[in-house]
Amino acid sequence: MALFPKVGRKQPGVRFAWYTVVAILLLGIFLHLLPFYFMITTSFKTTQETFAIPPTLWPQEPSFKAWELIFNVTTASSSSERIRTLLPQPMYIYFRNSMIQVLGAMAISLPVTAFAAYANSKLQQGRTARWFFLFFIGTLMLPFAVTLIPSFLLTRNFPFPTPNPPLIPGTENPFPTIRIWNTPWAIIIPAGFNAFNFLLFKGFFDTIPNSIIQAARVDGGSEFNIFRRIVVPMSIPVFAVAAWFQFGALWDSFLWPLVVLQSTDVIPMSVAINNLIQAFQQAGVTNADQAMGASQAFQQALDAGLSWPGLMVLGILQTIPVFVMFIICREYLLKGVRLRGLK
Amino acid sequence: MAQESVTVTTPIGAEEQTQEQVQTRVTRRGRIEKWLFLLPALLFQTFWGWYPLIVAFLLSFTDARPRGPISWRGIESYQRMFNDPLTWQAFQVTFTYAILSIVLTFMIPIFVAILLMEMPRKHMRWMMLLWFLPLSGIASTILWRYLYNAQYGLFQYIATNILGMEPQPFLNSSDQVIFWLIFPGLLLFGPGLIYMAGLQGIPQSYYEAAEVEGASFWRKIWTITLPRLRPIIAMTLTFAIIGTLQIFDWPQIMTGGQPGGASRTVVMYMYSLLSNLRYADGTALAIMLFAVIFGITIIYRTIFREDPDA
Amino acid sequence: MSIIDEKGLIAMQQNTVSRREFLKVVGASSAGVVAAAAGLPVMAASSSAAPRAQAAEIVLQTASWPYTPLPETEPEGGYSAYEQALMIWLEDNPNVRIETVEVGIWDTSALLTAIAGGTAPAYFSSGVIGSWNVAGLQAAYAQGLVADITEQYEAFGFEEKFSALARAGSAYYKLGDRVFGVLNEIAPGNGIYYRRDLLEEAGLPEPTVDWTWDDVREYARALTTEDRKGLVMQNWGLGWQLGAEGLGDNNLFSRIPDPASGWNWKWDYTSFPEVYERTVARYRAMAYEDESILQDVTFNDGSVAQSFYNGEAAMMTNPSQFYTRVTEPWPYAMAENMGRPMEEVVGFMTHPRGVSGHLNPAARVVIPPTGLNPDLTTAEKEAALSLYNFMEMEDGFDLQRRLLYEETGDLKQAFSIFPFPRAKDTIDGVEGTAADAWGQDFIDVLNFQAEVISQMPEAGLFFPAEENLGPTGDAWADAQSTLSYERGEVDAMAVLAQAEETRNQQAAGFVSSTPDDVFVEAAVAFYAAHDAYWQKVAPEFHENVFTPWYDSVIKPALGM
Repeated sequence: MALFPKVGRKQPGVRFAWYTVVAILLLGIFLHLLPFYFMITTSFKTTQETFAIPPTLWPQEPSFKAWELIFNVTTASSSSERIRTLLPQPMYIYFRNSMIQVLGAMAISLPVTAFAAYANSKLQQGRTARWFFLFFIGTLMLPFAVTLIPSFLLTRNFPFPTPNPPLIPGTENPFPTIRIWNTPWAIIIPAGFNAFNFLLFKGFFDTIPNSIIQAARVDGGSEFNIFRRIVVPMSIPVFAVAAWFQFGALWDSFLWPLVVLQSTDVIPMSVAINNLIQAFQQAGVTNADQAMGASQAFQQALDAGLSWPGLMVLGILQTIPVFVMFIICREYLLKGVRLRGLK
Repeated sequence: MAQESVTVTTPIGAEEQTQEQVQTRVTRRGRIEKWLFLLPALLFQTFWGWYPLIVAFLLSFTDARPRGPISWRGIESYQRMFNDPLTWQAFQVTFTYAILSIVLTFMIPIFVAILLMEMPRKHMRWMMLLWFLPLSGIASTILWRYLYNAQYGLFQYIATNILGMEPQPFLNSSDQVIFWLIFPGLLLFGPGLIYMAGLQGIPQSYYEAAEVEGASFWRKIWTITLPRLRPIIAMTLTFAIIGTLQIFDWPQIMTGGQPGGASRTVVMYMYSLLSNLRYADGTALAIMLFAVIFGITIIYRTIFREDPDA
Repeated sequence: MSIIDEKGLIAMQQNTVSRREFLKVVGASSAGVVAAAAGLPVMAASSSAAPRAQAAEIVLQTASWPYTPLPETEPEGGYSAYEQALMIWLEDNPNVRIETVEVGIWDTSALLTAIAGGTAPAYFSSGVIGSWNVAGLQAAYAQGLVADITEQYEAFGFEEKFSALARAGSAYYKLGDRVFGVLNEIAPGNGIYYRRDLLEEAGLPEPTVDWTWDDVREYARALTTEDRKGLVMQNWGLGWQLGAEGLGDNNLFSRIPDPASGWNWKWDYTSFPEVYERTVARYRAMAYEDESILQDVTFNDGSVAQSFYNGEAAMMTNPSQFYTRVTEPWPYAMAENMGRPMEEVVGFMTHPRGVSGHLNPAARVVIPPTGLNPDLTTAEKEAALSLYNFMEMEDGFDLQRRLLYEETGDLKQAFSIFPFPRAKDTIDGVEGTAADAWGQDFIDVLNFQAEVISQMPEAGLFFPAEENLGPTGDAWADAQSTLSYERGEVDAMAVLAQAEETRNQQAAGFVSSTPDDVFVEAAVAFYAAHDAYWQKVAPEFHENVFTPWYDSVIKPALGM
């Protein structure tokens, strides 16, 4: 409560400001929750009711059909519903794949990015630091769609960004290549460095006074130990935030896994679910030709018995791990207060 | 703004030094360690970050196609995009979108985080949960499409029945469409988490000391909180600039660039080109955008030097 | 519900009788299917002289479309109609295996990437990478993004098996004399759905093929009430009205051949200003004065369908193929929810005519062709097309539909997604025709669209394909939406002049791959075809509108 004065708390001015703040926060919460409320109630409606305008606030005829449909698929690979054509594996397989890929990527990316950010923040200075900074975040500046094909081809024939490796000159043999395509490594390795988290870490490390670092150096000890013993314990909140953002981004990432993974036993949940969601969204259609395309995907989903309620169930399933991860990260974020209370 | 001067007692009781005066002297062993710190990131970023980017860059000088032979075409794609009126319209839309978005929505998460820190611990926890959770994409789309519908949407209802105004066009007006697309961003408090992480590090004693000196609510924020957050704000602002100039998903889903191309950003036009099998042209446009963003970032960081040791 | 009962299943598993023969017997004894007893060839031992898949093992990887593998264990409700048909084909082709892979076949970036890297599935819908129109598809074929199946097409005899309507749309799957696609679906033509019951209530006569947009305006006005609009359209709704006049986008009067320029085409959105202004004014009057249109810049086919389904609008513009769809949110489901027969509630009519009787090209057949992965070997292509042949052209199709009919008793379900790509428009083992299922008047409209409108000359059949597609359609989409949604006064001709200028400026950056003499020859033939067509189909239009334009604009441009 440090911002609000202890003295004069009872004054009407302060009181008013306090209540206004609370009111704004509560309004934000309400508007924020509306989509979730909508998702949950829609998942219990019948398909017909989902088309109603204006959307009904509460299901008139609650139906568990959508939940049953999805859980039939999650528990068994043989189900009497046609939806199994769209979701061939049980849901727990997709979940497992997502976890392996996302946690694996984070296990590599967080240390790698944090080290680089620390070095750029504290160990480098002047122009070198600035150029390295640009080197590390420069790739954020190009839209992903453009590097999609070259990156994809790299997962097929590293280090050649071509559909087939070139032949060794003078022979009939192609160069040896590494192929990480269709394995979890295709997700984990390219995620090894995360430019957004780099920005995050660097911003945070910049707030640490250099004098602390310098004093520790005078004490003796390698940079690595300084990092480990002093900086990291101070930085638990930012690690928590970085982990949270990366988890969220990787968990929901759709286009890259769609392109580099193909076998249904390595597909993550985001791909399995998003394929269906895309069909319903019919994004950016501005003429009749495109509408034809959007309709085909839409029909495929409809023919398999999937509709808005089922889609909402999938959306909820997709969001739950993110929710759980948030709660975990929140704890670490708030821990920071206790650790630094002394200073 | 008063320059932050933090006095810190070093562990061995050496004389107090101000932050600007401290040199960061790195030993020789430290230099090796520095490279070790940087090496993994350098490798990843080179092979999976810059390598594909350079390949794409080179492809923009060809008649790139998904299959089949590729031939060199020089700057043909760049000329074509340069002479295309829609390119300039897209840049204009993009700049408007980015500026409006940052001006309107950038500061809010900062204040949300500051205010949230004022809450009692037990409330803070569930409030954080309810506020910082990311919104589900598809639920948001449906919700906002419904809210904005010019004929039966909730906002129109409020405008005509409650506020007694003329029927508003919302997304159907080329003047207002950008504003309405940005409006939901006022609720995106996600970055607030980052600021909360930074705010953790501000000792209570500072506020108490300031209060003793008679500082008001706003003055405290101005002299203590914001300077402390400055490097973090600099980073999130960098990311906001880079990010909003490449905005694609939200306007694509909501309006597809209409009406009249008033919501078509550069990346949306690029996507349209890629879908029409004009890969080289789309890449050329993307590289043009890249150059613009790169330039803006350099200018921004030169003007607002945030590195204390730069 | 499976036809195969337990005893039969055991018999099959013991290989005492082939599935095919078994189904023949069961079909004969099944109630209602008298025809089989009369010796209808329910299952031929082998269908026609189609080549069979070869001996080595072949794996067809599909992304759950259009064919999925059999489930590992039998599902609770029994095998579906599709699965039973698949089992027969697999019996005949034991060396072929179908495997599911997850590829984004509906996402343009993902599919293009997969094709580039050689990881595409066996089948995909070519429209995803071909922008769903003839020019885009032909560019995709020219770039080698889809397998060339000319050989297999001939071997299986698809030319004869395809219906006349499918052949009318050959520009969608052929490039010159090479074939790149087959058909799983046809969209016979766009039009307007209307609520028959509401029309009756309002005392309006049923529309005919000769109706115009002025008629539609009257209808919409009459049908608009407090809680219902007369008409709901997608965000490109104005395009329907302009297309009816041959104006806008890449329609007849909007492109002029210009052999002198690099791109060979010049856009013209400023000729016929009176017609443009009248059409735009009428649209805006409908939207803002009559307030009889439900419209929004975010509307697409799905939103329109939803509004019609909810009863928020009495008419909607949508492709005719949705009339025969039996899922939500299409009219079939709507009628079911209302508890009334579909014939009473929903009618369909092709697009209204334009001035002097011009026919709207939007009502032409549209084909989303099925393409094969260009990296397939010949054996794999044959296997893939053999499965297609069985499932869509031959016995497999009949079996699926027959089982569906026996399961549901609903003729509409048996004849869903009509017209079929194949020429035979009846189903073996099912008594009844499509007209019985969907109503003769709907079939009449389809026939009109097929026989008259779909015969309109298609540019793709005359001009060589461009590998580079030229300017995108965005400039026109912009103009269209400005004209539709901008409030207050709109200077239509200024907007159109700007769109024209933009497109021509964009075109200046392209050089066509067609040499000038070839182009001129093609153009002469193309416009001559139009001349003959309009003379036959809309003589008034031909005399008053087309011929003057042909003589004063086209002929000089082509040096005739």
